[in-house]
Amino acid sequence: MATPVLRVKNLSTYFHTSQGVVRAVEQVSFSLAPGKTLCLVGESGCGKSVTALSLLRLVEPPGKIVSGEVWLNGRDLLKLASSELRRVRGKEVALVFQDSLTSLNPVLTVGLQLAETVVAHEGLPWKEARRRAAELLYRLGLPEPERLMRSYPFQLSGGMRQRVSLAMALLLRPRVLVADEPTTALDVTVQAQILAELKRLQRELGMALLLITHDLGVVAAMADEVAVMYAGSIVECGPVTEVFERPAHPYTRALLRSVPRPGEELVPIEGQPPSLLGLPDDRCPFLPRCPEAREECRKRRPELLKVAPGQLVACHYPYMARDEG
Amino acid sequence: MKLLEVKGLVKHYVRKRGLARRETIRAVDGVSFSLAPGETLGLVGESGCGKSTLGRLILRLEEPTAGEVIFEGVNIATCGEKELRERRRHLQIVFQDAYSSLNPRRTVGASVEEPLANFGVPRSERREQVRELLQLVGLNPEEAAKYPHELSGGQRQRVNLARALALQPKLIVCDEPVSSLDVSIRAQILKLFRELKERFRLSYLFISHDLAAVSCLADRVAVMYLGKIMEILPAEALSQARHPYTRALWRSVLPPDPRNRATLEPAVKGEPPDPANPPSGCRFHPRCPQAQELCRWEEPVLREIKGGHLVACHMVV
Repeated sequence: MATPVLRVKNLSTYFHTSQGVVRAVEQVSFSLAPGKTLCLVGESGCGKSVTALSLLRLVEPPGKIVSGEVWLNGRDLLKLASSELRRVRGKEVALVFQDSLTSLNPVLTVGLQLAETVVAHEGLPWKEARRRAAELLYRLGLPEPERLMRSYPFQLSGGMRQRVSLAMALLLRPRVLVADEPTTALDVTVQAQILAELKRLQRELGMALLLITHDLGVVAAMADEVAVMYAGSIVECGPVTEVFERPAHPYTRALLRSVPRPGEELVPIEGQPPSLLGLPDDRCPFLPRCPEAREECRKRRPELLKVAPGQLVACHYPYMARDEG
Repeated sequence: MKLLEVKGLVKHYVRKRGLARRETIRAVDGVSFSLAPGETLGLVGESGCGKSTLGRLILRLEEPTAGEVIFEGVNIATCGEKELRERRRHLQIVFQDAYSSLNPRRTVGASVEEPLANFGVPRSERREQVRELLQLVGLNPEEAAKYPHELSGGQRQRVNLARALALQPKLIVCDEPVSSLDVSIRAQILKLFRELKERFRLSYLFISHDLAAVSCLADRVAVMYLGKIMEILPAEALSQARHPYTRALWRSVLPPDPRNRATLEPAVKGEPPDPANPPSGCRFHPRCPQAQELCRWEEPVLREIKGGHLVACHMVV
């Protein structure tokens, strides 16, 4: 396997609230190879977005990164001086969010915002910066980029705005793109277009993608590797075909079964995800909803251990290939 | 006997553009379909296609511009206030946003009790009925004392459903009722919808952008595009849809199957046009991979090609 471009080790981010400590991200580790896609999947509140923000040190108080390392290109981003970090953001690792309206400046034209990014980071003349922006917009499937660049964000549809945000993130040709639910608010036909474009650009630029989503269909379409998060921790990770076809964690298996598929019986997971406030750490966080729970699960929180080549699972009683009969 | 019959339903909005310019938005532009008792119709389409407006028109939460909505033999679109109130007993709606459709200052019990009180159920019986309703939707009757903010999204949607069920409706319009819920909770609520439908022989008009969710619940599916129905077909025939738009939607559904990932190439390009200026001829022609000259000039009519399967497309023979 190629040397990873991004390596995250034991990342923990806590929120110190008046009611107590919320352990939003607890000991998360993963790595990402150039040109590959890792999907971070889980339900709301599982800590996937806070993980993304933590990578770039964008967590706001009362949130705080309490431990961990984020290695990008031989440097630990969590130890970088803020002036250096600013140069890394955008240039080496870029971030794109679900809500494209809030990530664009409402009073500046699209073209100005895009070109400004290039001018600020690479010192290119404005004319050239605008040309590069226009080119990228065109490649993202937006016809008439010149006209588009003269518009303001509110004049665009959601799908167009999302593509502009994506262009903004891709302009500096980052080595790693972190995309947090980039297609969730969009119609399915637009989603398919954007995912296809993203994949194509990724191939051309050799860019690594950390894609955060709750949609297992998106994971199946995009991921090389997948990491399933539950209650702040990764409970299972590995190559996407392994994890989807032979899920070892009861949560992963249940999650996959609860996706509606035409003509198949729906099997929901009973109960709901736990509150992260005061979550006990001496037992498995999935315990109350787990069909396989036994005595051991009440005594000790399981660690992430290898069950198959490349596949790790945090469960005392993982499903093994032989269980499938 | 039909439970609901919608005939030529139209809703136009006027949008002001600057001082003098006005333009007409054709949100719903001539929609007809019917629903048998106990039948569920899924209504799918992209955002802005008019599916939510259509749902609201059926309850007359919006005044239609033209057309008829015949529910239990009464035209809801034109009937008087008193008649409308009486009909709404059997005609309920559940919205996507489970939180804002509940009064935050009222307990869950009070919210579920409200429709009972409105339709004259004696006070002495209400408390027991509220208990039963909460149990019916899978909530602990103890939850009646709680306020909406104390519940999770899935629980709130259960409360809304209990409220809708209070007066023993025949038809519930469900407007994206599971779209803002998490995967594991979404499956729970979908399953509940299905159980209730079978138990009380309910009809749903199930509005959603999620074809996979719709196909789990609906008997038939109607596909809307820019205010018009493009195709109506049995849910199990979705994979053999005939209209290019339905086929594109179906192909855009991403199955949770990593081996089956070659299909990411978009089935249609671009986005739906502005409903204020719908294209001439077939509304889908600018995005349609099969469009011919005829499609640009002549609007296709919705016609039956097989029992229960209707298509509005020139290219389907």
